[in-house]
Amino acid sequence: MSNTRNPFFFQSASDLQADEVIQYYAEGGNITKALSSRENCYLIGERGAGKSMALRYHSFLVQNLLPRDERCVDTVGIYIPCNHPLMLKNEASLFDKANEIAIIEHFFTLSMAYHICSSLRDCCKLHNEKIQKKLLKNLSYSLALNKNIPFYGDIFSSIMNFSIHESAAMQKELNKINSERPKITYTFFTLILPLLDIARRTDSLEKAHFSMLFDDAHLLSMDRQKVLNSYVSYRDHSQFSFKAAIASCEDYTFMTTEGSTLVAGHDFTMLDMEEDFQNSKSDFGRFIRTIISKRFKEFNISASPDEFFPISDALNKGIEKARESARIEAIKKYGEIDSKKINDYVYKYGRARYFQNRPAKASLPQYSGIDTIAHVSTGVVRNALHPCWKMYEKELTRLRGTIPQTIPPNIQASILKEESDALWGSIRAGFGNKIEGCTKEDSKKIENFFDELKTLFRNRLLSQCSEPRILAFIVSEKESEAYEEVKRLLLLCRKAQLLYERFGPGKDDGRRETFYATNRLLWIAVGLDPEGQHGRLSIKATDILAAAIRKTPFLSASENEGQLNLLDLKDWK
Amino acid sequence: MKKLHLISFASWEQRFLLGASRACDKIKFDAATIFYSQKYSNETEDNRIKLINKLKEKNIAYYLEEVDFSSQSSCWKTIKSYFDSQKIGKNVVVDITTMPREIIWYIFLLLKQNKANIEYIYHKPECYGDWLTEDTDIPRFPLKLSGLSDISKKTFLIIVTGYDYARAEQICNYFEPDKVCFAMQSGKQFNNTSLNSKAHKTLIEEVDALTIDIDCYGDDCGEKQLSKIIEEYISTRNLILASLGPKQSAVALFRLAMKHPEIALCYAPSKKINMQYSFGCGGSYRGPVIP
Repeated sequence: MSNTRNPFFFQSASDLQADEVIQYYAEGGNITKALSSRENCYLIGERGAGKSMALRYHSFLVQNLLPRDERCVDTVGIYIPCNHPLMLKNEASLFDKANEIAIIEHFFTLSMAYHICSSLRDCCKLHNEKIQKKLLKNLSYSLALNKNIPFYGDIFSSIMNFSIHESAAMQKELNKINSERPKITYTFFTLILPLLDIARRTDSLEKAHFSMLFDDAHLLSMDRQKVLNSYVSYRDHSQFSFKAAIASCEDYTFMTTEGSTLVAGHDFTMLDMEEDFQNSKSDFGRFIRTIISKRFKEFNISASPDEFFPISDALNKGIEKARESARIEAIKKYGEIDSKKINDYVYKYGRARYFQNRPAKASLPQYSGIDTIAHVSTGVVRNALHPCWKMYEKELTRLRGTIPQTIPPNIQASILKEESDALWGSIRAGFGNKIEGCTKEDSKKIENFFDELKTLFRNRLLSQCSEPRILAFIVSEKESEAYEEVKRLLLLCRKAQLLYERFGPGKDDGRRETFYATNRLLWIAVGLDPEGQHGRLSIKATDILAAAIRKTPFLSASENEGQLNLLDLKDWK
Repeated sequence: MKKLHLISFASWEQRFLLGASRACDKIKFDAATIFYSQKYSNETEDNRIKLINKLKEKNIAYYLEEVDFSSQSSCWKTIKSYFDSQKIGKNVVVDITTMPREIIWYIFLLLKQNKANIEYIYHKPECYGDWLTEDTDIPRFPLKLSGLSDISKKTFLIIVTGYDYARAEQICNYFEPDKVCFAMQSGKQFNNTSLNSKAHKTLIEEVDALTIDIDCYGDDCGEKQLSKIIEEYISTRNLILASLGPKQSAVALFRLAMKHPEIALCYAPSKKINMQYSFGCGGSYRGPVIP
């Protein structure tokens, strides 16, 4: 939604102007550390997690607009989008593998060359025209061209035009019905390395480290991913490195064109964009507030995010009353002195008591407040901005065009309910035409699974079990026959953004384990607590499959107690 | 009298057989080529046999060619190899009724290269099934029709919408274009208002799409309406055109791709098609592919 009258508009980061990126970007987690390092890195995050925004912010074009003391990277980031049509053409597949790879690399290389030059053209000055022409001539020679690359005012503009011209020429040839295999193709080593040498001749880039920032690399065909990985596997990182943003590891191969496999920790580091916000040290609520505050500044809205999205009085008072009630229970149980145990008890059961004590026929809680919005987003920025956008539009309409200064809690609640209903609607409608690899049967299994999960979570919330507000789970019985099929279904759920894969410390020997965070927006429509709790439920693969295929209910909350894979607060980093 | 060659794509749908039979009764064909999908060869066998019997009855020479549609490159190679090896003749009628759009485009392209006079024929159903396709595959550019992408330009996606807004959404999400235009078939046929216009309303808002009305059942298959928007943006954007609506829009898109080689066509395959996709055979449309 690119409506610029609404501060919560969300547009693909690749469509923003450089100054808009600066206006709207908010730093979170270890992103700058990862993107300014000289190591290869893969950024992982589902759609809307902020990968593109992070890459663009750390690109040279954007960083160069910042005052020198505000720049956060000393590498020269070159932003390269992988969803450009040039990266998605398939004519190369008509040739044998060697030629196919050569053509793929040819387009990769021209794209990189273009983006390097367009990034540097306006910021970096080379020496006089005579020297530039000489450098261009040398480049033409190293590319074994019949004639020199034409000079268009400056060397970078010349190479940009050359890249456009050469890619068009190759496309024209490949589009012919009886196209011939290419005689000359360019590679990273024949075009990009000499180009980087040219770039280092500018005054400011003499010792520069170039960081190629590939966005949406998971959209590339497998062969293209392998070409990119072959670059990543190059041992010497002193002068350049590669950062690639991908949706998930399942969407991406880590193999190279030579048949080897990249190794995490050795060839690259991995940064999970969503992981950083899932533990208690970092706070997604703070991050969302920062993002919204920046936008409010641009839109001259003086209210803070908390003032703009006030929590409903009834909800706030209800939860406070429930916490107090839990405190009294805790004191009765532990005595007044053990404040830690009392606080832990209130954390575990305070909010739950609010939901447990509501009359059976009560309408849904008036879900509202910036914290609720942050929780409902499940750590994905776009998931927070989207309902905020709708709330703003609704209030703007209600006020007949007067700029809202706050969004009443009832509007917040109605939009959240609407969005939650829509998400359940999409589950009922199925994903057969939205998600690759999802059949009608799979859609039904997903629907069954979430219906049973809904019942499980609701029963837990209303029971006296430990950690009643859990909304995440791990899959146990990984050696079972059911596990592969469960993994496949959960991958489809992830693609549908009903689940998010996260990594956290495991209960056994502290090793990191994969767990699944459910999209908390789902739980608004069924009256659960979107805040959730840090623990996660252990569910057997066979039970998940039984629920998906036969709508077999999961174990009741009390029966499930023995299966819990809970993290005590003290274990939580 | 000029020799006329019929090219069709076998299907289990009633209109494949009814339409082709009707065409054979009304048009004097000398030969016919029936392409069929390897994946659905069992499902289409019955209709193929019946059509062959009809062709024999009419003394029309016939050729069968199996196509492996699972691989884009093998699909192209099979069809190209067929046209390279067979003398098709200069006057061809392509029955696009049950032909996948990517194959429509390949056949048009290869026939055009052979300087054939190409007509299309399309038979409407009497009604559609309750669902059409599912298990969508990744959108792709047809081979040789992927246009000339300019590294310096952003993307403008134009979709001729159909009844499946989820596929339109999938294509939008895949390309993340700078601009989107939905070309929406006008009229109330087949519950078009609710299935097409209303269904896309949310998506139009979400992607801030332009919308234009189009009439794919008209003489030009909607080409003129699409031309206007193409001419406005072709110099500044990489244009991608997708046909999800009436089948005749595939003809319009092909014409536009021939006029503007920079344009990329886009195909969104489905791995599963409803065996009850449509019922009966309604009116027919016939016209030149390149006027």
